[in-house]
Amino acid sequence: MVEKVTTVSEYVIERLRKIVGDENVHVKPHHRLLRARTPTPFPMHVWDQHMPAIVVLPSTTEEVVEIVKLANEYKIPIVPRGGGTGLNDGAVPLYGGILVDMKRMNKILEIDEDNMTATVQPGITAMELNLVLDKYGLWFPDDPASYGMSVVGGRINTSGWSLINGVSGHTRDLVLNFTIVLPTGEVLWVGEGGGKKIRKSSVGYNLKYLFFGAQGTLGIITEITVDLFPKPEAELPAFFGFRSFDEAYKALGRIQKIGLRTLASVILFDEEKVEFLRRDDEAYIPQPKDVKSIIATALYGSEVEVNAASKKLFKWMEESGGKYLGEELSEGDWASRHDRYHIPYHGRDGEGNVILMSWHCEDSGIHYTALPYIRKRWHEAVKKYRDKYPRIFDDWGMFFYNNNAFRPWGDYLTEIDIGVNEFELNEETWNAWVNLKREISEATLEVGGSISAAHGATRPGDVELIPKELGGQWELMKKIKKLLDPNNIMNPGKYLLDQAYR
Amino acid sequence: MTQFISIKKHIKEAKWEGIARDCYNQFACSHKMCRTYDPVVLATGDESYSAYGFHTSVLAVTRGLAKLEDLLDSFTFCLECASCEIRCPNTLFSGDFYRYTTTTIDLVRFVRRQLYEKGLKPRNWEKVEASLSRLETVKKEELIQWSRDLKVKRDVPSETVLLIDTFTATQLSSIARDITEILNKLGIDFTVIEPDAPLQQEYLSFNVELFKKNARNLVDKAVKLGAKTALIINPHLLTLLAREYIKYNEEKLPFEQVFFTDYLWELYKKGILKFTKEINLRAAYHDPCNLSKLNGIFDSPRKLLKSIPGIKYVEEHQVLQWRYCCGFGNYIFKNINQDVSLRIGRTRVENAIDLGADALVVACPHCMDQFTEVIRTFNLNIQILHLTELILKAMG
Repeated sequence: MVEKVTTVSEYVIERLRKIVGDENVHVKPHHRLLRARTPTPFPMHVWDQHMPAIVVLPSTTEEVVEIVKLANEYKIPIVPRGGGTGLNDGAVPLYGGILVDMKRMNKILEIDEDNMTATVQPGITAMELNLVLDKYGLWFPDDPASYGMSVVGGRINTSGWSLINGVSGHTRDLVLNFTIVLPTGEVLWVGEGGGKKIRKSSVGYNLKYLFFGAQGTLGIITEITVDLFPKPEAELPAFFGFRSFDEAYKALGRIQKIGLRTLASVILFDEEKVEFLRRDDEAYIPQPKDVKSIIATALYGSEVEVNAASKKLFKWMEESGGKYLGEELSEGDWASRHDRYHIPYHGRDGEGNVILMSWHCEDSGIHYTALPYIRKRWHEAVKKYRDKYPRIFDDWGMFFYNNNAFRPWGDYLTEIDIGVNEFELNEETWNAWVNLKREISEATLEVGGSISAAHGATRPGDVELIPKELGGQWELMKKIKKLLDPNNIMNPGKYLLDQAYR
Repeated sequence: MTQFISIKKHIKEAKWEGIARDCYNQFACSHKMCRTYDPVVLATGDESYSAYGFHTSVLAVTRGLAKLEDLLDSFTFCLECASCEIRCPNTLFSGDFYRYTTTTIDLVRFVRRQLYEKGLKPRNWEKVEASLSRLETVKKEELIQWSRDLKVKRDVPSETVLLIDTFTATQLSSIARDITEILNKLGIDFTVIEPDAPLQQEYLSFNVELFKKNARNLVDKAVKLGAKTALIINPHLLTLLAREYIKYNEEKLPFEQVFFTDYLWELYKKGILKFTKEINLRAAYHDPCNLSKLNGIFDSPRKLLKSIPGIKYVEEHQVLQWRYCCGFGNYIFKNINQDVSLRIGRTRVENAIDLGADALVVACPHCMDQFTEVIRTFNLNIQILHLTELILKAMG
């Protein structure tokens, strides 16, 4: 069993300094503490228990290899950290050790205009890459809420979800291949067969997907080749208001069957969400009172395609009871989609007073027919805990996003947003949070969903349900982990994978 | 001026409980947009030096998990450029409603003052003191030397005063001379004021009383001459008067402060300022942090530049330039972190070169000084020109 490492010896510090340079090694607590959390609910009362022993910022694959070999030599846990924006805790150290901050590795290594690929280091954001690709008329269409801040390496390790997946898929569909430093220090190239610019191969096991969602437990990715798209000519967001969730839900069912190839995104806002936006989101553009539920859509593609598709979409929406909410709301709200996933100061206590709360989001993958039941169960669960702790939790409503890449139908990333007064958390309320989270996940498994469609499932409240969700796959996961990481140094403690070593 | 100027009592009055809540708002942040727009983080890849890093570090201190003393060197890595403040979703979405904005610069200065009061000085502090000392020991005759052969009025009452800061007067006097010639050619009645003692933003990091005293003296001097409009050519001085004076001296300025580009653009629109001479140049414009990010002035310099006949203007949008900085910041950043400072400047200049610009035009003496050093250090092939020089030439 790997042990928690809260300090490292002067010798190890010196070795690390030699590998990455003095200025890229941090030992002071404030540098370590700021890399101790992700934006998922965090137990503030035990912040220091998640502090790494040391932080290093490498710049090359060779440096990463040296760090991993050193960690192996001394059995020191390693936690790779990308943007640290994940709504899971993959980048949170559970056993201290060496935190490898990958954001210095943010270079573009190649843009291949003809084969439409880019090769990058893992610390680059999609936004940063697109700022450069813009000059070539090309586009890397990975579009999470954290578009400007999450990094490509982290997107692989969390198996990232993209908001416009209807036209361009998710991160797993956009990454062709990558180089990874395995937990033993061995460098491995992983892709479709052996071709560096090949999107689909039938040669051998397809190992690429093994590393999607690994949460840093299987190695450190150091170089990535991604697929590029032509920059779309047209982008048309269109929001429609409905008189009830039920009406919007039925409309969602109809939209699934239009089969528009340009329909990038479909998002259903439930009644609690619209109420929350009216109440406390300054960026929200007020709507008529009879708007109780919303379906947001976005079309991406060539002008001729989007023009034709929009006519059909508007017709179907109107026939389903939807009322177009106008350009101001549609374009404004869509444009701010990357800015609105953290808004403090918007919570309300049980008496309606504004109090400091942070936005937290629980997600699952749920198929269409189960959505109303899940909505009911999740709101009930939050209400139960809010009634008991009115200063700690608040229900900020639910979203349902198309989840099926390239085909916006079938199943949905289902999200409930919960205000959490994290600043005042203590042992009791932290445990209440974990229990609430577990009730949410249990409801998901009850209907045959997946605990997470977007964020990952390594946190307390999720992680103990992994064996239940994965069944036999969980047993294989443990064998793979032990095979690749014999000393359990790579992000130990995640996914309950310590069990592989017992 | 549309920027928010948050005056947070807890920072001003060193109330740690309020500071902790303020810092928590960054610590809990899912976005970390500050990181993506911060020139220092872009240059180093190290989020320790982002708004997120600074606020989290202080929060750790309030919780007893880190020592204030440990922050000493880290807190020199703030350019005071404000990109993190204006790009922060807290500012964007809470600013209107709650008048609550992210105020990283105030927090960083507060921490620096706390450390200084404990007698702690960061590495290379002697270099900061040396630069400030150079300005503080300037003699009156040196201060006015820049205008020796120009027609200027001093100590004569006028509704318009031209404020020439100590740095511009003594180290980049061509800018002071050019603006004076422009105003004289336009027949503007103005009087020149140089401060008796330099008004430096660095003081806000270790000696607020000195800032207040020197600011008070400068303002009094202008008021005595009957100033209704203070014409400013250094964006750093504009920030100090337009934003910091109200915070620290706790009163509004008794006159209007106008940056020279806004002033000249108004005259151009009225047909008073005319450009008669062609200047054939492919020019990009650099938004000085203190002008664009801190004071919301980005339009008038562009309009003036584009109005000069012969100029082929290459646009770099002002929002994209939130990520840019010349790398100077102030003497604390520049003198302590020389290497990072030059790297930031190099990136910015190379962006202009990539656009095919022959010249990078600036409207700030410190940007001018920094970029001049950058192109010399890295042997970059581009001209660095101040807008006043081009305007004066174009006037014929």
